Amino acid sequence: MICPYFPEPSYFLFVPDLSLVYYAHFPVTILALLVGLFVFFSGRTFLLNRLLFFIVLAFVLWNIINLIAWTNIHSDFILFSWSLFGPLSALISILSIYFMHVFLEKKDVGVRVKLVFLALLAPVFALSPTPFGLNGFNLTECDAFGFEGFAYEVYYTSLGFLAMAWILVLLVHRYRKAEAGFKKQIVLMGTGIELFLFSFITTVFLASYLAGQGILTDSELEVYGLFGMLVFMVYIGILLVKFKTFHASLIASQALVIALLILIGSQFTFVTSETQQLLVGVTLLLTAAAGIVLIRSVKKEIEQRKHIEHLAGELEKANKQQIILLHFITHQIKGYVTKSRNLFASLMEGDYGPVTDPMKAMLEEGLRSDTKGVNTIQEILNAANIQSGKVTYAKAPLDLKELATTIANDLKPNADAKGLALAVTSEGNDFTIQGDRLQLTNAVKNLIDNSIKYTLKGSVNVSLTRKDSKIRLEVSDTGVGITPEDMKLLFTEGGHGKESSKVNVESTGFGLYIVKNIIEAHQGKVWAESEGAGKGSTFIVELPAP
Amino acid sequence: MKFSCSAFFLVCVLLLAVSASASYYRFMVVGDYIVEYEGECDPATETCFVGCEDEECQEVYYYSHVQKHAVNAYEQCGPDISECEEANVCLPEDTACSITYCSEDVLHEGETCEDLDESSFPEASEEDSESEEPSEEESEPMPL
Repeated sequence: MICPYFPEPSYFLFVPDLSLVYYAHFPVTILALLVGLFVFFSGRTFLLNRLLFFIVLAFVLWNIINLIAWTNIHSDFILFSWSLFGPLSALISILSIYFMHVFLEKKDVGVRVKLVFLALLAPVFALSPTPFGLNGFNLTECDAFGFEGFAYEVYYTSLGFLAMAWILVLLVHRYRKAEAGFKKQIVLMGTGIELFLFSFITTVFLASYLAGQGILTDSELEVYGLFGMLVFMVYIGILLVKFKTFHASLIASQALVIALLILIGSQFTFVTSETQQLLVGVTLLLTAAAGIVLIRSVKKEIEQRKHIEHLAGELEKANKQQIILLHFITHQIKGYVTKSRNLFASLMEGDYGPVTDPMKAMLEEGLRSDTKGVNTIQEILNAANIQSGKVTYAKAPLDLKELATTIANDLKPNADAKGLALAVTSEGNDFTIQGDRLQLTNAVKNLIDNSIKYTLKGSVNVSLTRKDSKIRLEVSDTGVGITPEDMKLLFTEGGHGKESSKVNVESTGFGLYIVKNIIEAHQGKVWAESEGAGKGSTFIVELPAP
Repeated sequence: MKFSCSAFFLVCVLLLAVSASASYYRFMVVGDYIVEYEGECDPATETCFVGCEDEECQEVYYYSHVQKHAVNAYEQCGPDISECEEANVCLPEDTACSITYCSEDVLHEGETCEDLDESSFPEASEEDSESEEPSEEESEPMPL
């Protein structure tokens, strides 16, 4: 049956006086298809890329059948097309949820979630060909608004709103846990897809409802909803370019230029006067020319960036090789120095005969020097191991007060040699923590030893306090203090302060870096406080009590 | 891509294909749906809907709402019902047919009844409802 009051379209789709419809459909469809194809072919093995492509494909199909419904006059063909609106819009909703799951979690959803998706889709596919979907056609109006059943009026739209709510919950939940860099991507993607779904679902629902009620003469309102896809594609473009979300290596400037040309070119569908057509034509040509220049410059930039990335890769490779070499050399040297130190120790103990006084002084100096050398090399090795993640922590209940007292006793001779007072004080009884004894010994020893090294006169105090669920260890001294400039370099890898270097020329700069890593591996934190040069300093470690 | 993922897409495509095929069969092959259109109406004997021939409504025409099964309408009139006498009446061979004349109960936004107020529903029709002729609605599923 044909609609008697409407003209037959030419070339299947074209009728006069529908410029807004064409303007809404063609640019959006072509742009979405271009972006969808671009993303798909940039990484067709990635699920995220595939899902975006399927969303775009469903949207493009929806647009085509929508255009058929707008322009055709054969009731059977329009009804057949109309019956696909529901399944396609439902697919768009469900695929959008699936897409956001994969985007946010960076992995596929479980089988159960997929079954939920299918369960939600099943009624749509089942009801669509039945009278619950559509049961008639108005030849006078050439539409089926008055004959949409329960499936159209309630279920399909509800599915759209469910998708919006589901995605919103996912976004909020994931945003809270996300890192700063990913948060920006979540906001962009979330806003894009929610705007798209909101404009698409809401305007289609409103247009359908108001036209069905006879309040609107047609459903032209729904075409405005299609521009939501345009917004979504712009957001996808930003994610492509800025964050490489879809593993696409090519900058989307080409897509941007093509989109601009489509948008400008599509104005030909509704401009009527020759002057307007001329202006649109000139704008189109100028945009095309500017676009070519833009694409060329971006292409050049991409080549330069690729070259820089290649160089950076090579540099990283060379760095890694250097680290391996340094590690190897350090290990070897440590072996030689350790052997030499042991020899000095044996000679000192008289294993090879009596030691005369002149010899003793030389041997003591040799032993001291080799011990420093072994400690320095060990510090460098520890830092390298921490950096490469080779350090493992065997945690067990540990009395931090007992540990600090033992270390202080071990280092007392060093403090005595400089005439410094070294004391350990505590408030409270229980200082038990969960920790790796060897690593924490290393950390605490480093802090007390540092204070002794950088204190020329006065005292070094180690104090322990417990507050709520935290145990605090403070190492304070009356030493050289820390300038604000040097404070920034503390705890950094190989960081040497200007002032501190004058006092301790043998510092490797790795000591506090190691301390920080060990303490953080115990879910604690460490920081330093000082009022400035010459005013002493305090290093504070805070560890959680079990 | 994992099996469950491929299976999900496959099931979706299959469901869509089955649903589309069923719709194609129903609408394009069998023609199992109702068509509604404006049928002829004689204002002398029935309460007709009134339509305007032009924007200023200088000329009016009268019509009723006719609903028929698409298959019957096609058999009786071919693809175009506009020049078909059979399209305006319910025939014994019609499997489903109804002709609705104008009344307050069936008026939609923008529609007007011939004997009611000339302005649109609902305000005018509510005001004049007591002075109106009883509405006539003939809804006759056929065959008789």
